[in-house]
Amino acid sequence: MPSSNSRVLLVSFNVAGHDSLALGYVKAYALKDPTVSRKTHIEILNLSHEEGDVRQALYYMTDYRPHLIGLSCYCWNMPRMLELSRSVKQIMPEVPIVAGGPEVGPVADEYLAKHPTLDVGIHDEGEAVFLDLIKYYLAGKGKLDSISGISFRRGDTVVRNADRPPIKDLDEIPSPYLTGILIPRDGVTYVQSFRGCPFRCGFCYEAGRHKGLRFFSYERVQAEIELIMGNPGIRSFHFVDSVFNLNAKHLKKIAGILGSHNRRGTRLRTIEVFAENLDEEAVKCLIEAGVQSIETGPQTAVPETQKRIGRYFDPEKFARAVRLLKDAGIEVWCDLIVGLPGDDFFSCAYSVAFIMNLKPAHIVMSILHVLPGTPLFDQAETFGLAFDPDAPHYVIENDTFPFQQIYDSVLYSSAVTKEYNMAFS
Amino acid sequence: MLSYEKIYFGSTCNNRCVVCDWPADASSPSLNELVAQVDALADGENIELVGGEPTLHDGLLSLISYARRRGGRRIKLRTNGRSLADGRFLETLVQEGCRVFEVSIFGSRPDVHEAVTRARGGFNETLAGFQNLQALSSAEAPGRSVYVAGRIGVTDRNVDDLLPTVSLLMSFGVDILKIVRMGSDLGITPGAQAVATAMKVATLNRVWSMCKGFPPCTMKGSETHLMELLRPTPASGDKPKSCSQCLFETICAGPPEGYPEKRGTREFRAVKGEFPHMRGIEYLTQLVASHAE
Repeated sequence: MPSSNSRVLLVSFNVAGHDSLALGYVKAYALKDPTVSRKTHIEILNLSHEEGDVRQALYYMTDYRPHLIGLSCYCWNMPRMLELSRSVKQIMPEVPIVAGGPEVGPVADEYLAKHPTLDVGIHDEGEAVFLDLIKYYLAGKGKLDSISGISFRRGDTVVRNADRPPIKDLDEIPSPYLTGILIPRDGVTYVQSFRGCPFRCGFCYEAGRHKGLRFFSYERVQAEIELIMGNPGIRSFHFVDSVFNLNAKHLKKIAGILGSHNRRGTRLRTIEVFAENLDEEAVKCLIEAGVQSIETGPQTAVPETQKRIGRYFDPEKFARAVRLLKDAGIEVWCDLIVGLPGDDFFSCAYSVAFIMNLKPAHIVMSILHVLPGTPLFDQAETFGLAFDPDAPHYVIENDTFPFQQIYDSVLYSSAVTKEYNMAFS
Repeated sequence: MLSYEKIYFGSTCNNRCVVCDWPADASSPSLNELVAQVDALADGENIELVGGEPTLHDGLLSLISYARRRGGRRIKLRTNGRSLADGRFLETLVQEGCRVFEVSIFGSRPDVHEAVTRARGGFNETLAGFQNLQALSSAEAPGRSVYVAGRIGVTDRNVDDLLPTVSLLMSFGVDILKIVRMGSDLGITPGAQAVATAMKVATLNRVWSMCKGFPPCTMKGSETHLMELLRPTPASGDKPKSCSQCLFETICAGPPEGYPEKRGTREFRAVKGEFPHMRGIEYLTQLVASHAE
């Protein structure tokens, strides 16, 4: 057990062996405070979503004995986070539990009202808020009422404080990599160059958040890339940027940084791109950046559905981009969402056929999650959307897509895309 | 549905199915002729090997290997599954590059299956083939994973056994079921009812199933499972007059060939009024047409 006066444990269940970049940021920001840094020990517990277990986390906690617990909540790990919070309260009832992340943020009040084992919910970006919570809980500074960006429990009621504006200058958040909080590992390291998204896709959490984009400085991004690419054990890593080819200027700059530091043939994998915006020049930049594979829409190929969910889609430009990428030797992964309002069984089958005709390397099929904070969640009634109110919020039906057809579409798309994905590369 | 270009291995077969369309002669192309077929493919990415029974051809492994070298990314073998009872042979096929299998079966019991195939002992071999495929599917070893479609030929001789056959194939963990009307003796209405029920059971068990050979007017409520609607192509030919008023007139080939002469056309009634899926089907029709061009 660390000798610090106070111990904070941040927990996440992550997919595919990744470490939580979000919790890395939270810890890095908190340790920027000299008092917190001196008096507090902050530990991040990364567990596997696929193989991890709530009791592993509990075992770790009973050893570490935290004074404050933070949970990084996503739709896929929320059931486990709730189970964990219930178990923790059985054996450490005095330890406050703070829930943050995109699953809780937009509906923090509802979560607190429904789950008495959660003490605080963070509305949005967590770094600055969590630092205030550390100071309040562990140093007795301030009052919960005056911490903006949270909801908390007072007796039987949930108190909602004002929202907190996001951090304007992202460089205020120290790099978890450059501070040694996160150690880059092969294939599972994320880099972020900006936050936000220029698009407003109805199913996406980013669409419901702040307008405008916020950037880390290129110097900061460059320093992270130097560190990652300088590690001979890192053969590939990812960017979590919502759109890697945000615009020509940004793409060129990032590609230049990546290209100039890539001495070992390090590759970028499954970065998200806006396909319709890719031309020959942009593809050259992706090559310079060492991009091995990209992931992109179209989610559905039906123009009426695209319009309905607030997405821009140009089938010809999309097809052209896939062709350009393939010709350049970049693997293309196309995404398809089953259950979007506007679609039905046969239009979904059309989307599968449309994507297969483009011959991407891989098709990724998923079922619509009606996520809190997204336009579809907020306008569920307009779209006749029925969905599970509990995470992971699977769609049940909508005004064009009855349940039986969604069920059929999931089976059909799974079977056909599995056959498609049997391909040799 | 994924489209495949076909390579014909000739009509040689170790089954003698009563519903087989192939001529009785056992003509078999040489390896060079098979290679020429591969060379002549327009695309060559998705290749389906069909017979007769392709596994009986000495050149099968060489051809798979050649097709892979020529850029084949998905090579599908349509087979009666009997040769797959030899696990080593199956492993060799997979190693050479064949990872998609469509295996035909006609019943859940030897007597039902072999009443159609007229090959004694064939049922157990086909079953062993399915078992070996299942073992490979669950091995999850890199490069050894396979995709298995179970193809059930439904005739007047086995229609009563359709549900047990579907259950049997599901027990082997098949990825998809294809139910195809074969022969000319099966009544459309009882056949359609049996197929619709079997497909419902498969859906309930989370296995996707599709059928072929039943016009949409005979499969109301099961339209999402019709291969003819999932890959709609322009259809013409002799149809009952009432078909001209049907929503599916342009993409439905009408009653099976020879059927009206035997049983009349009363079972076929134009689908009229609102059909909620029409827009999606129109998109599919356009896509299939543009792809064909």
